Amino acid sequence: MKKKQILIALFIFGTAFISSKFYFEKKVQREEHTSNYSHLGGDFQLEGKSKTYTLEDLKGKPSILYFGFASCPDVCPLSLSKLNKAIDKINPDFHTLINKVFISVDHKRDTPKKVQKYAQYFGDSFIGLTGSKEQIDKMTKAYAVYYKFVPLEDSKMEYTVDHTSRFYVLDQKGKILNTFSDVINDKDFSKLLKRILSP
Amino acid sequence: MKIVKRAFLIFTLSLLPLCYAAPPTESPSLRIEKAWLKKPIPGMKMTAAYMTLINQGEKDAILLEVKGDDAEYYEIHTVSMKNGRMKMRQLKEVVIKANSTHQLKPGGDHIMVIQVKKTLLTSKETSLTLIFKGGHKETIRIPITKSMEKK
Repeated sequence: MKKKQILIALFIFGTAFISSKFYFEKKVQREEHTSNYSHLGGDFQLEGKSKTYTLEDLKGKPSILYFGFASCPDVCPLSLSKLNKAIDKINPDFHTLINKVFISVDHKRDTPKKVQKYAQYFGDSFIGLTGSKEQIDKMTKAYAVYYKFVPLEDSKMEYTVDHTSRFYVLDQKGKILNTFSDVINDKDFSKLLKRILSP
Repeated sequence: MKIVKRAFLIFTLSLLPLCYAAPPTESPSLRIEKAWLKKPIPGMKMTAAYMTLINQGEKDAILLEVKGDDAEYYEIHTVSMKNGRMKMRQLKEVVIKANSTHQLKPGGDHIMVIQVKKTLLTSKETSLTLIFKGGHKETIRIPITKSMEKK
């Protein structure tokens, strides 16, 4: 009788263990596949201050990409500042463990040197990149980033650049894991960063 | 005594022009609070200024123009987000409704400061003159703030 009870207990325990393992594995898979970006991203070629960058240069560390333009006095600096604040909130040590990349789509006005100066205003670890129209078009198409030059007829700015305002999180192999419009309040952003950066 | 009378007469006459002075421009009962200008990022020619405009009057106040000495041009712009896309456009005016508040803030309506002068990088304050419909002007001293956190 006692042996039978032990067997039943073992059976229940075993079933519960296998079920929970299956459930959690599925949950992780579900989380990872919630945002499937396998059709986006990939290699690119852009110009940095002192060299040409490709996706290969970002590999080895997770990366966060943000697309904007250096003459943007409002949304872009606000977004880069929010990224710093969000990382501070999650874990300040993460700043040095991530490639933070600002990509200017304003190939008419911005130079690699100017973009690097702009990006590094937000921290020495920031990388500023831009490129020719062809380079920018190729990358924005691959990463599904919208940008458009819009003339401002009565403005001394002459034109502005409408653009996607979104953070792209890439793993250390350069694969897009997810994208975020709000890194401060979206809990999935902190969860993702903790998952890919915590030992 | 004669001298005293003469002095009184001169004093009284000197006050006469005041009686004919033009009436002051009708003030739209505006208060400007929390004004600041974002310190330009080194090497960049543009920045923005923000503030809260409080209209305590019974009529709408309409901001038409901004002037200052520390940049070549000042324009009124607005930023909007639609479908995850950022759009910035120039505005001809900003209406501050009667008895209400209008904020010029990051990510919304703001004053674009174009072709900034070096003084904006070194000064702690700058002056802006806001010109409203009807000719009313408000000149304010505002702090230049480095708001972005470097990491």
